Amino acid sequence: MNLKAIIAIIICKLLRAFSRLVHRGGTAMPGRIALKLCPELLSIVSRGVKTVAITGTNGKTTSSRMVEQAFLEQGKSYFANRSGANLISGITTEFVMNSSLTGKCRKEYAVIECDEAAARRVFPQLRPQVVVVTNLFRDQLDRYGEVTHTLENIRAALEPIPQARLCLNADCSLTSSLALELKNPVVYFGIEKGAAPSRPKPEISDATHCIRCKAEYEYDYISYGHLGGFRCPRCGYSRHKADYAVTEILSQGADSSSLIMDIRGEKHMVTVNLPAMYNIYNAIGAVAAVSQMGLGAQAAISALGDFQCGFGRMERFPLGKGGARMMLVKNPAGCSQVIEFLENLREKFMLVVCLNDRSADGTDISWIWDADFEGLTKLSGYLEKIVVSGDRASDMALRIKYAGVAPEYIETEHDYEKLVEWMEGQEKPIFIMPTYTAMLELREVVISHCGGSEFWE
Amino acid sequence: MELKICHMYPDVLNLYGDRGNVICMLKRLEWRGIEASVTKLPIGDSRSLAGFDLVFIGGGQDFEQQVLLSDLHRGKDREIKAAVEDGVTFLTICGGYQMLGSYYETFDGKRCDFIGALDLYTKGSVKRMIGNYKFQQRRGRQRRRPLQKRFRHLQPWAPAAQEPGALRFDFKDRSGAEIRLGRAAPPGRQL
Repeated sequence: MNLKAIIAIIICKLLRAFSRLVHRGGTAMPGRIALKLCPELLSIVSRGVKTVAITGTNGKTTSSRMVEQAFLEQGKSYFANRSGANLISGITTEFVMNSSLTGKCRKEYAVIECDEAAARRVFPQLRPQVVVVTNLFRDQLDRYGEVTHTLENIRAALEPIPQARLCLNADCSLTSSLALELKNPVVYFGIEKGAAPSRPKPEISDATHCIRCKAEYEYDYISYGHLGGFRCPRCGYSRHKADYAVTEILSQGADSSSLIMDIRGEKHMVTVNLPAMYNIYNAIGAVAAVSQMGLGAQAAISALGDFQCGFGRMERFPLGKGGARMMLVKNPAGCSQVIEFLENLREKFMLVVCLNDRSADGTDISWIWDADFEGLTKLSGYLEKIVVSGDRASDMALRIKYAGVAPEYIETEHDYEKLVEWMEGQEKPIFIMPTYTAMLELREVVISHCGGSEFWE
Repeated sequence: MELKICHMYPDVLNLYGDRGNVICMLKRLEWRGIEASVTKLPIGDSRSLAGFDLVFIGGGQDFEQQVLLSDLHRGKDREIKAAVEDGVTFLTICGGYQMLGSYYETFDGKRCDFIGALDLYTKGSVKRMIGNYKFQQRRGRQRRRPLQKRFRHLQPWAPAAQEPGALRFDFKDRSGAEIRLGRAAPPGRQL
């Protein structure tokens, strides 16, 4: 038995216990140190575990929670990495914590969310059975570089594991292109033509031209961003038929969506416990993943109606008379989708936007100019006030002003304690749009006022 | 009187909030009661730039820059060169201004020929240059441009960055490319 590995495991477990003792999370640091001692530790502790890995730009965490719910309901022995510890350090820590001192995992399955840039280091060691790639959008360009670089990172991550079954978003020309070069078995998920009204070509798209031959794509329909029924008129590269497809969206409410899914020829009526189009994609992707892992599509379908939104993904808090919902934003595509969701609300509400520019948020906040804040101007009569907060609150206030919102609707509050106190005194529902580190900090303050779970629970 | 803005390659050169510049310009003009229009010039449209007061070109990924190269050499390059010679104001970001130079050479020696409208070239390096920076705009003799001549009486509206000596805060997110200037004068000095 690898002595170095055993020592690394012991140290990792001790560091984690210590971190929890002093209430400091300890999700990634123990693994980071353990990997320094034993760089191949993840491959040792993940041996024999049936793993489903979820990566991509948007929807990793929500999809993972959906998949996890299916494992929970089926009574499977599993664990999942929670709370955004999705780099090799955090993933390794989770595996170690679920293993014996000799590195034998006590669980049969693992549901692992993996950062798209970290996948290159993680996948060759993790050797997942199933990999979901949710989508690819521009995101934190200072951290990830260009979208095509992220695509290449994922391709390079998958190349050493040709036996992994891929679940790819059929509607995303970037994601689907992975199948062109890899030998892995592939299934596709997506939203069919006619399920939702098609939209006009967006102003900002991350895939306007064919990844193979650079001709401009034509579209049979567009869901959002560059997602939809794409087709290259020159080389013929086009949307693959979806094995797991949403054929009809029956209704989209403020809390959930109701749809018809076609799963390998069988039609199912499904309720998804979260609103908005992007969560419909997350749902169908999760169904594909759970099915490919051998649990059966029905397991996934019932999970979709039950799972809890978590950790800033449409997460609810009992603040004020109308309650508060937190919706994490990270990049233009996700942010525009959240704004669109707000546009479709038909009730009066208050909006809080918290913008940070720390490492995990993306230090370059120019992306806020690509997000469609202009959509907020369609909400006159409903949107009563916007409060901006975070390290770069002033930049966000500026963006909203330039989007066309009258300055008298915009207020700035840097202090989270004061902000939460203000929210507690509100009558109308509050929607909070924080970036990642702002979410972590604000959540702590919110929880200390009204209860909730710590981010590592 | 209308300020005519041209937004070139909005379909492919829009990498990171670049369109925010156009949004800002339009809004500021609107608030000051100055009529303005934006004409988009995507791939395939190579009309003359003669009628425009200001041309905006954003930045893009390597992939998109390759996509537009053939379109560039089908007429837009001549139009851009002519407009630069005429003193039309250009606001260009990243790949946008690299494109105005003679060429771009990657860190491993691959060369991409561009328009040559400005006397500069770009050499890529491995080290990325990322981060907030502030610079001081150069004082002294600046080449008079038609835009400034026409709108000089409206000086108070000009964005602060246009005033010589003003401080600007910007984010520089570069793939590590260094711009070597020939006779082109740098706009300012990094602090």
